[in-house]
Amino acid sequence: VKEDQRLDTLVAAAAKSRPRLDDVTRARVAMRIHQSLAARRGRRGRGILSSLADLADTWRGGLAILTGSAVAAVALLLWVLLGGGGDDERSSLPQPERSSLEPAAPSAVERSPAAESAAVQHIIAGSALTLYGPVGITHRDGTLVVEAQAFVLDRARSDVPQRVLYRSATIWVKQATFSADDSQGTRVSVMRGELLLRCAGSTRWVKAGESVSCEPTPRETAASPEPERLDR
Amino acid sequence: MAVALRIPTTATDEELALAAAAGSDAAFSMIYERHAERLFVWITRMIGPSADREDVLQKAFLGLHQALPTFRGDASLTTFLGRIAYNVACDHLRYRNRRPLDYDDAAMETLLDGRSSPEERVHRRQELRELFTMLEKIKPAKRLAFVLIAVEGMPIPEAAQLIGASETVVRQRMRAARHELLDLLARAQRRLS
Repeated sequence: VKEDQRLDTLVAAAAKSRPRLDDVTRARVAMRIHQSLAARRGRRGRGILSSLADLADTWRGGLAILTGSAVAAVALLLWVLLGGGGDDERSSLPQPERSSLEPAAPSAVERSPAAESAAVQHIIAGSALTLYGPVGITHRDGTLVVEAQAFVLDRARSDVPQRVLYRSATIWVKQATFSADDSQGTRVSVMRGELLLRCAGSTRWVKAGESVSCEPTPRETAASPEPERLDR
Repeated sequence: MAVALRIPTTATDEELALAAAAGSDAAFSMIYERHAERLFVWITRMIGPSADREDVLQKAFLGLHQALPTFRGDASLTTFLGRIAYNVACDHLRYRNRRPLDYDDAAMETLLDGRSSPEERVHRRQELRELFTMLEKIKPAKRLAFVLIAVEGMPIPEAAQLIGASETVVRQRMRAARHELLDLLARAQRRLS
């Protein structure tokens, strides 16, 4: 009993412990990770990683002797350089390569309303869409927002995933052909390839031959997605 | 080829994982920023407050980078990363168990809350040193099961999922670890008396 109590005390002390990852250690590990990744890639091309590795080489010696506010400044600078903070909406990083299927894909908002019950075809950002009305489609910041009773999307091989918002579902697709409709809730059926589907609070992969229905929710009866969804 | 994508700050872990798997360095950096702190705490409790925690943290993220193309979103990214960190920590302990660490007060000091009084800090340092020194004498699989359940307070089903073993096995490891720790405490007590 005595040992039991002692062990419980020790375990409680460990549970209360608060190890801290300080800024210098955080930056140092980040540098080492990027160096390792750059080495893995064989330093092919002069991408961001190679540049970071060069920076890391230059600063590694200096980092060890920095103290006080200088440490914080370097950590902050590294954090920004490594893409931290996520303020990438304003970053000057190069745009992703466009696929050959992308004839002057719109970079700003483009809205294409179509006549009711008509089938409308679009090629946007490397994806070929056929929409069944009444339809509307918006493309902004790499996200397609689709309003339609049903649509079919075909995306040829691309390294850049396309994000599609349709009713209550969010779909990411790199290479697939699939259809979606809202006849019984939101239903997604994949004919070729695979995609990542998030709906009804869960995320899952849907492969060719599979069909997934999201539970119908009150939001799905709304005529169109809210504007804030486009701002993501 | 690395692909630079514009990543919004509101991107979910799953979105970041997908973008990072597609080659986005910015997305991977954001995953690191979000998870490094929590993972470091976790690694510290698993392997102790030693200098090699940085190596384990680095290896865990490199393992994540390698495994991201297999991430299917069945479990959260936190669980996915936790599983990788567990495996890295386990391998690390197996290697290190050939030369168990001797912890000093300075290492224990890094675990303490800065607001506690000097007397309390001395007391806590001794307790932590005693526990981590005993944990060094236990096989890694048992040690990690004990740390996850007893120290981290993880439910057994969750721990089993993370470890990749059945709940029965995890429970047995936990009990065996506790039994060995009690035995070590009893022996220490006998030596003192």
